[in-house]
Amino acid sequence: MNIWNLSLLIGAVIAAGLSYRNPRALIWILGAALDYTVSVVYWRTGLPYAEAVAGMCDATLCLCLYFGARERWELVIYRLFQVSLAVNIFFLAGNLGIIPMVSQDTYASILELLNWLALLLIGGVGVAQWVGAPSVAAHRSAGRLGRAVRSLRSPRKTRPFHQVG
Amino acid sequence: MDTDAIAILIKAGGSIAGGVLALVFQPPKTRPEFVTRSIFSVVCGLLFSDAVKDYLHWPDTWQMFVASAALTSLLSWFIMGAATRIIARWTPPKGD
Repeated sequence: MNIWNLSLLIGAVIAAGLSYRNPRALIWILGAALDYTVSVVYWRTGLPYAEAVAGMCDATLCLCLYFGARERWELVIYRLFQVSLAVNIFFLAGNLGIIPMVSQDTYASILELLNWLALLLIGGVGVAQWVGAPSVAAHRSAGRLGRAVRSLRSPRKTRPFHQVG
Repeated sequence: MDTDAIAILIKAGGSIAGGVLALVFQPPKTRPEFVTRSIFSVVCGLLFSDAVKDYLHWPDTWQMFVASAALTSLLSWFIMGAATRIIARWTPPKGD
C-alpha cells in the first residue's frame, strides 16, 4: 500500500465517520472502496488490460448508483464515476493504439482526483446532515451553500427506466 | 470450435460491452425504449463492426474486433435514441 492508497483509505474512513447517520452514504463509500481495491489489486498483478477491468468496476458501480439512487447527491456521484469510466476507456484506447497515449501518471492522477471528489461530496453531505440541512438552509448567512445543500438532499427528479413504462 | 463461431462470439461480446457502456452513459427513459435500443445496438454491432473496423483501418486482431463491435454498438445506441426523439417531436406540416 503506497501513500496515495493510504491517504484515500483515511479519506474514506473520515467520510464514513462523517456520514455515520446515513446508511446510503456508507453503502456508496463501500462500493467505491471495492471498485478501487479490485482495480488496484488487478493492476498490481501485472495482468493485461487493467484499464478494462477498472472500467468494468466503474460501470458496475455506475449502474448500481443509477438504479439505487434516491437523492440528487447520489446522482452527482454517478456522474463522477461516469467520468472515471470515460477516463478508463480513453486510456484503454490509448493502450490499443486507437488514440494518442496519455501518461500513466496523468491517468492515475485523474482517477485519484475523481475518487477524492466523490469522498468530499459524501463527507460534505454527511456534515450537512450532521449540522442539520434545514437549519443550514434556513440560516441567513448560509445563502448559496444552504440552497446547494437543500438541492443535493432533495429526491431525484427522474426515476430509473425500469420503473417507467 | 469453428473460427466463424469464435469471430461471432467475439463480436457479440464487443456488442454487449458497447451496449452496457451506452446504458451507463445514456440510460433510456422507459422499459420499451431500453428493449428496442438494446436489440438495435447489439444487432448493429454484430452486422456492421467489420465495416467500421475496415473504415477506420484498424488491424485484424481480436482486440480490434471487440473494439469495433463495441464502438458500433455504442454509436448505434446514441443514433437510435436521437432518431426516436426526433421522430417523436416531428409534427406533420399543416397541409391544404
